[in-house]
Amino acid sequence: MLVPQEDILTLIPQRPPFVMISTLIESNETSSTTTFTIPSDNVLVENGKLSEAGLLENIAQTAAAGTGYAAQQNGAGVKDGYIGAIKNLEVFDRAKIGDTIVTTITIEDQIFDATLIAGSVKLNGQLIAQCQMKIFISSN
Amino acid sequence: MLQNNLFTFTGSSTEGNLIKFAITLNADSSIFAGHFPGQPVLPGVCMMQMVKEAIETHLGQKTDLVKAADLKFLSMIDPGQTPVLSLEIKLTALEERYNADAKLFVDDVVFFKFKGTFKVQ
Repeated sequence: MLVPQEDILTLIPQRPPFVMISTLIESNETSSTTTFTIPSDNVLVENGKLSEAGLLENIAQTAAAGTGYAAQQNGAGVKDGYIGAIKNLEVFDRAKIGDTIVTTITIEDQIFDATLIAGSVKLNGQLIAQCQMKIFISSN
Repeated sequence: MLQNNLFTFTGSSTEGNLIKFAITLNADSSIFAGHFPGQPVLPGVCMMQMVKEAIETHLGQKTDLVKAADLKFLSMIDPGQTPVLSLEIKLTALEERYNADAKLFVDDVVFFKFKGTFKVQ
């Protein structure tokens, strides 16, 4: 594990109750992987399951954690990021409270302040959701 | 999930397969405290959830989002500056599924466009 739960907020600009990752387990120039154990009081849980909105935010924050980790390695600060577009989202299943999902993002392209990523979410080794996302990193 | 916490539906109407909702954001929602501290921005994923909850309110049934080909977040929403939004959804039924083509806007400013498929639970 690269960054445990107690330090995850050093990598991302989001703060409770809107934090949708628990730990960063891998990160390099092209990909990052997080875990997220779904808390019962999470604001994006509905009927005991992490909502589709929660899955997407989890993918976006996995990308943010990768960017934040790289910035931290370079001695820079964490910047705000925004989702610009999502394409080809498929949701096959959803995780329940207490489940741990493992999410990997791969950087496909980077153009100025826009990063194109492919994200996939697994539960017990099974793919439960995937999409492509365009993320803008704020310049301030 | 977010209805009556992050936002409320303050009006709705239906014209054929076009459903329309008026939305009022709750700037005091805890979500804005975390996204982002001192700089509240409506999370894009919550715009998508508004579409889902509007469809569920219209149908009177819970749904799962199974696919979405295209979501575009065109402009940021600060709940202090833009507390009232309009949502229009063109909803097409296909067996147990519904195709939704939606936009979130105020007058001629579009904040979010959505194309996706929901399945009734």
